[in-house]
Amino acid sequence: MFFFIPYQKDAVMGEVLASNAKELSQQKWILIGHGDWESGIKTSNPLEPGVYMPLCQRDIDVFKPACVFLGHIHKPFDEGYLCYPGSPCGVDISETGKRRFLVFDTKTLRTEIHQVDTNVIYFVETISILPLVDEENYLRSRIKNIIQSWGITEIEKEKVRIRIKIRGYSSDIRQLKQIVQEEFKGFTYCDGEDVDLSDVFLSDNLDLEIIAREAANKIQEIWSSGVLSPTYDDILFHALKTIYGGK
Amino acid sequence: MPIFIDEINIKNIGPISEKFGGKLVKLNLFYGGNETGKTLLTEFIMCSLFKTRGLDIRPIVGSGKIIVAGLDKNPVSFSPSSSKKFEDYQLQNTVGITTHLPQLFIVKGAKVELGTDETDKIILQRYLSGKEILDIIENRVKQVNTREANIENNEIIGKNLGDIKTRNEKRTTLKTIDTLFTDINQQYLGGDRRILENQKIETEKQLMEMENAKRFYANTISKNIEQLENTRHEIEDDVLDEISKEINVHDTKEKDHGKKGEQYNKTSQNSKNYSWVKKAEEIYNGQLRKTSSISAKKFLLIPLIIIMILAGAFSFLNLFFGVIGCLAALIVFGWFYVKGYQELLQESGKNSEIERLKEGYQSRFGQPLTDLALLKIQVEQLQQEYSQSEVLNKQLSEEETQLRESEDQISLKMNNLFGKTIEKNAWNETIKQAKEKNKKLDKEIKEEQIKLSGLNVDETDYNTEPPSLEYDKKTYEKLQSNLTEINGEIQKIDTNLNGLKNGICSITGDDPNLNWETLIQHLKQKRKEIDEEYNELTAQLVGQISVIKVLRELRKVEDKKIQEALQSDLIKKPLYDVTKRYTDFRLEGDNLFVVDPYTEFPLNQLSTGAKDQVLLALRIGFCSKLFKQDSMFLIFDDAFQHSDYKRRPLLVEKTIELVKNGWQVIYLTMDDHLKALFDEKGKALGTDYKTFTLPSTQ
Repeated sequence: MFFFIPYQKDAVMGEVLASNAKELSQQKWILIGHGDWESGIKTSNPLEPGVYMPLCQRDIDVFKPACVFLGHIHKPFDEGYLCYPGSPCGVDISETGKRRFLVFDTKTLRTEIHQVDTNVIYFVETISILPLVDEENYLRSRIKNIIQSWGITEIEKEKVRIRIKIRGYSSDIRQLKQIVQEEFKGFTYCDGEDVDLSDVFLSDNLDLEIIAREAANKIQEIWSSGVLSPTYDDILFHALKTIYGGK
Repeated sequence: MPIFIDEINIKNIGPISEKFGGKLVKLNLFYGGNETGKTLLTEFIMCSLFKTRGLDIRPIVGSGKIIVAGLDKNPVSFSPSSSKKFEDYQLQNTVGITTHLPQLFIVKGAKVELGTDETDKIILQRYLSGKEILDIIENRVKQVNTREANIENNEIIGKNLGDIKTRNEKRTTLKTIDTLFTDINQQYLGGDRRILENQKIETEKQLMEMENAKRFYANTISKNIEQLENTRHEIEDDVLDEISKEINVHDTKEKDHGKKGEQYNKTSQNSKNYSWVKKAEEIYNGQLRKTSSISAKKFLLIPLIIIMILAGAFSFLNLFFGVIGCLAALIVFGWFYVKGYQELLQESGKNSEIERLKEGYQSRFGQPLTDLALLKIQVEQLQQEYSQSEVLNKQLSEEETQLRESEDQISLKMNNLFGKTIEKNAWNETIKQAKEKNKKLDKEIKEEQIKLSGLNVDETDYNTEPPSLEYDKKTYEKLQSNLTEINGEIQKIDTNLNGLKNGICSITGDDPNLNWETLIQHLKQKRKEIDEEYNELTAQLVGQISVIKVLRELRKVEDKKIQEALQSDLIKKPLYDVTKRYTDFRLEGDNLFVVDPYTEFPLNQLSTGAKDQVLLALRIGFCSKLFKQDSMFLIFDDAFQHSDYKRRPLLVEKTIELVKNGWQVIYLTMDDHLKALFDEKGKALGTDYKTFTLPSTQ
């Protein structure tokens, strides 16, 4: 049985489910609703701030839907039997990546992911750099890996809209910009922007470069960046600030 | 392969407008007068080869390139615009000297010292370790607590001070917020409360129906009580008690009457011979009296005679009244005498009757009649019984009348009370039954009243409409209990929710009266802010701690590196090569000592010439050490200009020796004396000495 819960202002899904608990308890059922999952409750949707008909783990535990499909959060999200298919087309640059729709098999209760052929595909990337002897190769390699992770085809390339920010320290900012432009050639910057190098600082001190490289290794050695902790790039950026001072 | 400058080509540098330069040899003398561009040439070389940021150098104008051999497989071309500088080659594992490299390779003017107003140790640290720059970086981590912090298992371990404290506080706040979100999920967003509310509504509905049923039931009981009371009051207990009392009195009387009858019968029976005895006594007594009277009449004769005598006397005496009286007495006594005599005659005929009396007595009393006294005693005895019997008889007669009247009255009352004629023998039973019935009714009424009281329904709330279900106390109580429980749960949730709201407001600073949606939104924003701050601070702390760790590791080997460096041949060999006396260095505290085979001298106490030689040796040693080369190049920008003329030949000789040891020297001078010295001494080098004369501006 599919149980659809349309959005109701000032209501929570648990209430609606509770009102239909008896009926729901009698058969296997799939919930389709519009609202915030737990994580959505903690995290604001910049487009629609507020709390939208939330669903919590306890509701799942109590009413036991076989699968849950939710709307409202535009970012695709999958967590076991619960998923947000996400918006089929990115509304703005904040909705990055390829968009998708899901086909649900009512017999196997499995979903199949299908990509939506959208007009634009947004990507936002921030790359931290540090001055290396082979700074150029390092940067080119990182950019190639990033582009590869997007998983786009040549045909899709022209649909891509990018926002790129580089931060850190470079021995040659002009060359850095050139490398970035070369590697992202063929992609279109969002809203006519250019690569953001406002947080890139010149490093012409080999002593500091040596310490920076050691620090980069040390960070990897002593800190594992988890989902909630700062990223390696964030930590490295602060380490570089300490090494280079005041920038 | 030694590193040396292979070629210098410049153009349009200051006064040097034409192309200038060429291939270099081991010893190269650049000679030119004042304002011919020597300093500009030196700065051009400096900016081309080294990273000069922070150094006091004028902006470079003009162009040119410097070819250096030995750095890479092929000669490397350097110019001021080169991105890769000398430091970028072979220095990857060395820290701290790059900002001082130009100072090391290029000796400007009289600045033969490697540092100004600095201790020997600092100079050594600068060139042989990286302490100076390590200190600078470490000082950028302002908080000592952060410097002393550590990272274990992805946890920042340090005193709860400064940034670490702030981070800990933010993490605590984040945890608090996350707990609040969990609570929000559990307590506010979940369906529990709604489930309870639905249960409450359903229970209240059932309870209302049951309440109606209860009210109806109360009404039913009330009616029942009314009916029972009506029935109960048909025959009041006091009436029954009264009539029962009457019956009891009647019964008692009747019983007494019966007893009296029995007594009567007994006394009557006992006194049944009374009449006979009385008669017999009379007869017997009569017979005895007659006998006695007869004898008495015999005694009457005497008085008669006396009276007759008296009568005669009176007559004789003519006492008339006496005679009359005597005559009258004579008549009376005579009558008695005659009468008694007659009776005696009669009774004597009756002696056989006495005998019969005796026989009758014997038969009646079982004892012989012996005398009159016995008979009299018998009479007296029977007379009492007889009298009693007579009294009883009379009383019985009266009581019978009263009993009859009483019975009639009771019968009438019973009839009135029960509506039918009740046989006398059924009176008590009937009353008993009536009383039992009343008692039963009382019990029933009491029971019903208890029931009614137990229902606790006000009379005004009685319901006369038949309910949809039947009242069941257990179900009603269960529903009440359930409702209380549900209300308790809801209240508990509400209490928790209020606590939760207060918890949220303590974080967001909001008014608890705001609605949940707004509060949650504010909490989200707060979490986002704190999360960003927390991550930023964590990144900063981890970054700083990582850097500090790197610095510490570099420091660990610092002193060791200095000592090792001082003892290395790369440092020691130039010392002897240059001084031809000192063979070793020793660092004690902040002071450097030079050691010869016999003694040692502090560097700062050496003569100027000796000190210059030691410093030159150190410079050579530092360069060799840094680039792991036995020989490289040195640039002297009129370094011996201020040496006195006695020292100059020695300095030049030392330079020649240096070149002979494989070093390349570029010496720039405007001093003719020095040029002459170099020209003279340089002859020994043959083609390894070359002079470049800067074009004159004139």
